[in-house]
Amino acid sequence: MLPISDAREQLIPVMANRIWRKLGSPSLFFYIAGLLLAACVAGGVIPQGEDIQGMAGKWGQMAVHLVILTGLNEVFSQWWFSALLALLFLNLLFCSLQRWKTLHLGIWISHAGMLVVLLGGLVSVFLGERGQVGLEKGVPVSMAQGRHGEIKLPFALKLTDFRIEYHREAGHTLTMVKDGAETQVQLKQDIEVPLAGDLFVRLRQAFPDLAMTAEGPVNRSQTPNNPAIQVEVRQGVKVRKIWIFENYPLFYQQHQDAGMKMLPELYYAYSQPMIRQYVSTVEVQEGGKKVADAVLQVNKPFKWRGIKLFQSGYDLSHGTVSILQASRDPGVPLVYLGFLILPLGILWTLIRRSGS
Amino acid sequence: MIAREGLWLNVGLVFAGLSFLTGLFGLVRGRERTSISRLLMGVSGVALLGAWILRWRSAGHVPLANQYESMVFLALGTAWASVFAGQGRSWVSMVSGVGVAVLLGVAALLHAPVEPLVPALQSNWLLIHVSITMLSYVAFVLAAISSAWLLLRKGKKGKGSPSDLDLDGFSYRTVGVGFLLLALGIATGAVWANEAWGTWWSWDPKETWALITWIAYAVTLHLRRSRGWRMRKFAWLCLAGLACVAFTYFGVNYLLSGLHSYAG
Repeated sequence: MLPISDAREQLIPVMANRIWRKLGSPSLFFYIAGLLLAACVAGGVIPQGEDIQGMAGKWGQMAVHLVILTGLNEVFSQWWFSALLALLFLNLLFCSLQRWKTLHLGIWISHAGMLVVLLGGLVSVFLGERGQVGLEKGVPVSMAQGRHGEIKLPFALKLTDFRIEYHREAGHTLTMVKDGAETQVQLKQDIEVPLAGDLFVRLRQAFPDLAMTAEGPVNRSQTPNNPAIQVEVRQGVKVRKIWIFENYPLFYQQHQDAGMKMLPELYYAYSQPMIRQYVSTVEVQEGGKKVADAVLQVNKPFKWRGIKLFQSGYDLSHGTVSILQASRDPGVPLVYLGFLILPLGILWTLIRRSGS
Repeated sequence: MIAREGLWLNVGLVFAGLSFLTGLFGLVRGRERTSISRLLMGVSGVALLGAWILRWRSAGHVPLANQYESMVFLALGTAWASVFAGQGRSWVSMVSGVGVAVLLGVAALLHAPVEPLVPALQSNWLLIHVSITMLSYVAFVLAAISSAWLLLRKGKKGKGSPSDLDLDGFSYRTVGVGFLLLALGIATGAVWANEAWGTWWSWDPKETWALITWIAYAVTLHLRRSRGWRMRKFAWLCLAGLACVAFTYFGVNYLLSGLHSYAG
């Protein structure tokens, strides 16, 4: 019988060897891949990073509680998901190291590519910074709103212009039906157009998603949930204002002033605009002085002092606000390198395999 | 222009059908290779390419902006993959003929008029990213069809028809090619996302499901290599992989919303 100290001395290398073997084994890869697939399916189906209390009506309160309890609405930021990726990294690393003599070179290169991508991802998560910059016309801003608080930019941005360019602007078609005959006109803001006979119509206001509030009519969104227009109808010298709803045709007939002559049937059709581009023109300032001008569009970012700025959104409901995304990601070069190595490895494996 | 595009698509469909029939005839006659079926598939490929180019000209941008356009590209890719990779094998012409017909049939159901590009798609990456990803789907569809054949015939082999080994080998090679192309598709998508949105990965449903598909095929290839899962087992894995492809391609567009929602 071995003394306890000797047994421990022999046990430690045996255990270490076993862990070393296990960490690089294909079996571990299958377990990790299975768990990753399950996590990704959950994360790919359950809305992520959103308030899912609103789903209670659809899924049931119990399911919503369960999702929140297990954190499945935040799968990709859970510690166990990061641990799975870390384990995958170790598995790939140990597998490649253990089999460096026997492993096909192409597979070895593919593994190396994956390792570099995972490493780049790690750098992106821990050292990268991202935030949104809301720019109001003429107001310099040097802070971005990140996920975990404000991020100070090494410069200030001032929006000088924001415009939306269209392939096709929103369309407002008015159809009049009288004695079985249809007359159709396209309406333009504040331009009077003849409808029929001595009847003229002028578009005053248009809303893709109208809501009537105590302050008056407001537009809830750009989604055409309740398209409506306010028009002036003129017959001779008589002018009256009416609301026409796409979803509630002839609503105006029920709300006409008593004693007024009935209008013919009018139907409104809204066609959505087709946006070509969002364009922000900004001034870059350092120490209160202008140092550069930049034009940002979707797919055309602007880089200044290591920070990339992207056209991300806009809000025209309270003045002109252009929303930019500011990003500094030192993991990107590693990720791109991994994206280069990985396919090369797979290609090399395919070529060698077809050759053999 | 649109009528002519439809005409070319119909010509492509007819010739793919003829390729299928001549491939079938070749198999019945016990011929392993039928050059006429390869030629007919080539004509189908030319016609589909013509339709695609006509659409490109009338749209003024690469026609890969919606599901209809990408579906036509899938059919086009299948026809050309058959011509180049099939090397005139009768059964490959049959498999591809079925593939082209099904894809064009589904495309007809999804037909969409030519529309200008939304801001997010106005990039040269559209052609690179979408075409590479679609070609990976072509490979996975072909692998799944040959796997389904292997599973359905239960070992019975007629004269001239491919052996189980042929079908298994074809599936393995096409899955390998698809795996490479999907890796490139994901990589180019990540580079484009970094240019457009400022992040190379956002766990958007489309990205997540593309990754699921890629991991599923990585497991498929590793099971074959390290556990010896070949023939019927491998065929089942290819079909499971295609289910992932189908969900990534259709399911995400219709059931989930995200940054790729314009692609429907």
